[in-house]
Amino acid sequence: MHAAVLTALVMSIFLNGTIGVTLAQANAMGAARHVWRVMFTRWGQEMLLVGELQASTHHAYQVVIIKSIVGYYGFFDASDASDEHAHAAWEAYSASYERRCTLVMLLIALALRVLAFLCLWFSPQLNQAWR
Amino acid sequence: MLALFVAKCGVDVAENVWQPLFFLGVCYSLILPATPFHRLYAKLVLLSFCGSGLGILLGVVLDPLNMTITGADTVLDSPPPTLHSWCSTVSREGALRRGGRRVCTQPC
Repeated sequence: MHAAVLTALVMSIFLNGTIGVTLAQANAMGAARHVWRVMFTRWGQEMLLVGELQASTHHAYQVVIIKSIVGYYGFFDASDASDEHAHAAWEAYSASYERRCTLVMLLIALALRVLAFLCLWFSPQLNQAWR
Repeated sequence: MLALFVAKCGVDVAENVWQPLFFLGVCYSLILPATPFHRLYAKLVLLSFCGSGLGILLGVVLDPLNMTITGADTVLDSPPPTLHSWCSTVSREGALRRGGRRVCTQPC
C-alpha cells in the first residue's frame, strides 16, 4: 500500500513536476498561492494521489495514510484536526473529489483556451496600442 | 484567426488521445498502480488537455522564431524568476511586440 502511494508520487513527479510544493510552502507563498491554486498540475496531482489511495486500501485506513504520509502534500490538510474530525472531513472530501477535480481541470483548460483566443483575436489592436 | 485557433485546438485533440494511451501502454505494466487502466487514462487525458491549453496560449503569445532566445534571455537576464520579468521579456521579444514593429504592407 505504501509502495502504491510512493508509485503515485513518482508518477506525479514525471507527470507534473510540482510534487515539491507542500502545503506549508504553498501557504508561505503569499499572494502567489492563488497561482498555485489554479494550476492544473496541482489538480492532476490530487486526482492521481487520491485515486490511488481509494483504489488501493480500505476507507478507514486512508485517514492514517493521509495523516502520516501525504497529509502535508497540499491537497488535504489533516494536520490540525482530531481523528474523528479528520475522518469525517476525509469522507466528505473523498466522496466528491473526482467530480470536483474534473470540473476544475476542465474549467482551467477552457480558460486557457479562451485566453489564447483573446490574445490571438486582439493582437492587431494590441500591436497598435503598444507601438 | 478563428480558423487558426480551431486548427490549433483540433490538432491537439488527437495528441491528447494517443499520447496518454502510448504512455500508459508502456508504463502501466511497469509501475502497476492500483487504479484501473481506464480511470488512469481518463485522468491523463484531462491532464494532457490542460497542458495543451497552456501550450496553445504560449504558442499564441510567443513568437516561435524567438522562443529559444526568449527562454534563454528570461533565464539569464532576470535575477529573480518573477512574473514581471517574464512579462517584460515577452512584451520585449514576443510575437505581439514584434508584430507591432513590423511594417504592415497587407491588411491584417
